Formats: sequence, structure tokens, C-alpha cells
Amino acid sequence: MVEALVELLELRLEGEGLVGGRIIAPPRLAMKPGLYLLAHCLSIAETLPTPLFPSMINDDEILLAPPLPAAWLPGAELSIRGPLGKGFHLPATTRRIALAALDTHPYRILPLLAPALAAGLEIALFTPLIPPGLPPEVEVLSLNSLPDAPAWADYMALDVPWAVLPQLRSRLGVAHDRPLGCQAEALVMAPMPCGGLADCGVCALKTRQGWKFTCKDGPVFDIESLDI
Amino acid sequence: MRLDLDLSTPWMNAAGAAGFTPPERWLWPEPAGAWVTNPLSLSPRSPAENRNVISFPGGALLHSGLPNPGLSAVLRRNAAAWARSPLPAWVHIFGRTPEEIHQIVLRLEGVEGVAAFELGISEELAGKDALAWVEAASGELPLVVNLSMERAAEDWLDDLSRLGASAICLRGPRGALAGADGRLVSGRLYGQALLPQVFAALRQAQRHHLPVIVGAGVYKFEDGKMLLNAGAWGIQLDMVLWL
Repeated sequence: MVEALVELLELRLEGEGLVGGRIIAPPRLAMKPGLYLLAHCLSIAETLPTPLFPSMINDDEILLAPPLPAAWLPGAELSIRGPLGKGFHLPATTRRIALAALDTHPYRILPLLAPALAAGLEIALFTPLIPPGLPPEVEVLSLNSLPDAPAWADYMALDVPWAVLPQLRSRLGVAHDRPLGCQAEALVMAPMPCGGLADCGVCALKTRQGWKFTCKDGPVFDIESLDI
Repeated sequence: MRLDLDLSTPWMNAAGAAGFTPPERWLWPEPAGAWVTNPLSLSPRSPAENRNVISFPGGALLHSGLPNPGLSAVLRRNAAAWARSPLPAWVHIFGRTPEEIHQIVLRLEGVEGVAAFELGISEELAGKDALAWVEAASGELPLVVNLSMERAAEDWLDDLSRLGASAICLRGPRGALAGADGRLVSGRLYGQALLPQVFAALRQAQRHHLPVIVGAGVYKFEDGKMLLNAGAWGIQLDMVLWL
């Protein structure tokens, strides 16, 4: 884990008025899809750190998925800690990958595009919001088509607000007691104020192995492990 | 014979801010004199159904339901770390009955590294009822009575020293805010916005003739020093340790 000061180099207006950002990755920051940073702005009296997810990971820079705190301005000095948690595990045998953002934007799952494109995978993105500048290899589909995804894909990566979790299986068209049909992981968006420092319990998630902390046992979980 | 409450420095974490193991990360200008465990109950407790954290200008409301794996599991997983820690552990305990509190105290008194108990007094308890909890927690180790700062003037606190309590710790008050779905969430308040109330509560609590630990509102070292100059015996840090 790295603790460092970084400059918020720019704010980026993404689709639908969402604002992301860009930072230079500090040395040894091994950012991976689904992992996150906790950050706070040194020039503002903030009570809680903000979780920052990448929307694109390059060698030396990270694009930050929206939203960012409205008070953060370009040039702001951020104190960051991370990467934290457990991220996505794209299986080496995958041929077809389905990405899906349920009732949220897809930026947090976009870092999977680079390894998927590099591996020559077929890629389908199920989203209510189309990010600008997607590679032509990505087929964009409506969430109405999501129940088709488990039969098509070898691997699914989803972004799911925790309030939507109880509906997840029905949104995928899978009965509660039936297997999904493909390997699937969900990035569960829950409040994660302590980032694993305190086991504060706010982000607790019920799984088949008992209560887990989204901040350190997730935020990415195997969907079959979730008690939903 | 009861041991004395002792601190090498006045700084420590607040219950719930560092987990069940001594904090490895301590970004504060002066070292800690003790560390306080997460709230611990006799039996396991699940998280609250409507757990949440909601920010507001100058602070945040946190509602977790005080989830914890219960005394036996906490000891099994953490007792070795407590024994190894150079910092004394204050175990924050709470319970549904005085009997539960007494059982926890009996189990923990001989555990290496445990230097004191911090008894969490719930909002519903006051007067003779609260004193029964304090009596149940009284044993060989020093006892800190932890309660919301808005209760600092309550008369029953005058009896704490008679029952052997070593100090009073003032935590943040409760409040309520609407979550993203519009439903009200009740929980504990944290943050710098509490600081003016903390100073007022400190003055009220000092009338009970016990050392007073301030456990809310301190985000800046200078603010903590001012509270110490105003007579606080110790300062507990909460969400600032997560930044």
C-alpha cells in the first residue's frame, strides 16, 4: 500500500455531466481494476476520505471515475492511500466478457477494457449511460438485454450499488436458487469511510461465508458468494 | 485493589476508530498513550439494517449498529496482539444488562495487555439504571465511563467516583439525517463542527470531580491542545484517523 500526495491535474467532464479527474500515479502504486484509493483534499476541512476508483489505468497516470467531491478543484493537493480492497479477477480462459453497470455509470468497470482488448476478447457493455470515446470493439447494449448476458459471456463484471443488490439476480434473469451460468463478479458500491482501518461496520455485506467488509474483503465479490 | 488509570501521553483513538487491534497507522503529531478497542459485546452483534454514513458540512453521521463478533471471537483473534502491543489496551464494552457487563469484565480482567475498561452508556440509560451498569463494570481495572457529551451535566454522574470510576469520556451526540433514499437515519455525529459543544461539555463534566477525556470534535492538533489547556485529561481521535 502506498500513501502519497498527488496533484489533481484536471477535472474531466464525462457523460451526463459527471465529473472525473486525472492524477499522476505515484511510484509503486499498483492500481488494478476494482481496487480503490481513499483520498482527501489537503486544502479543505473534510471529515471523511473519498473513495476513488480508476476509470483508466495507464503506466504513469490514472483517470479517476466520477463523481468527485464538488469542492475539489484542478491543482488541488490530494492525500491518497491505497490501492485498497480486492478487485476483479479476469480469468485467463475468458473469450467473451460482459460488463454491466446497474443503475449507475460504467466508469468503475472501464479499466477492464484494456486487458480485455489486449486479450482479443469479445466485449459487451450493458449500461444506462454510454461513455464517450469507447473503442469500436465494444458492443454497447441496453440493460434490458442483461438477462441474455450470462448465457453469452464466460465472465461478467458488474458495478452494483448496494441498494440494488437484492434485485441483482432477478435483473440478471436468474432465479434465487439457480447458478448464474458464468463466472461473475460485482463491484459493490457501499460507503467505505474507514478503508479497513477500523472495521467500522458501515460497509458490512452479508455473504454465504458470513459478514464481510466491502472496504477490505471487497469491493469486488464473486456474485455466487453473496447472500442475496 | 484497583489499579490506577495511567497515560504516557493524552492522545488515543476513540472506540470504533481503530478496530480490535492496536492501530498500525497513527498520523498525529504526538504519539498515542493508549488505544481503545471497537465496542465489544458479550455475544456477536450483526450490523444495523440501515447502516450508513452521511456527510454534512463540518461532520458526518455514522450508523453501524456496533457490529462485533462477540467477546469469545474477539479474544481468540486478537488477544495475542493485545499482549504484544507496547500500548495499553482500553477495552470498550457495552451490554444489554449489568450481568452481561459483569461477565465481560470477569473474562477480560486477566487478559494480558488490557489496562482499562471503557463502559459505553447508551442513550436510554440514566440515573440509578446507568449506575447499575457502572457498578457491574467495576473491578480490578480502571473504569472510564463513556457517554454522549450532551449528558455531561446529568446529576447521576456525581456518583461515579463513589462507584470507583476513574474518568468520564465524552463522545459525540446522536443525530438524524436523510439518506440517499430520503429516509431518516439516526446515528452518532462526528467532526469538527462539534468542537464548540465539546468545550461546553468539558466544562460541565469537570463538575463531577473526575478526569475528563474528550472523545469528539478534534481534527486539529491545536484544537486538542486547547482542550487539554482547558482541563481535558485525554483526547480521543475518531474519523480524523481515517484521513
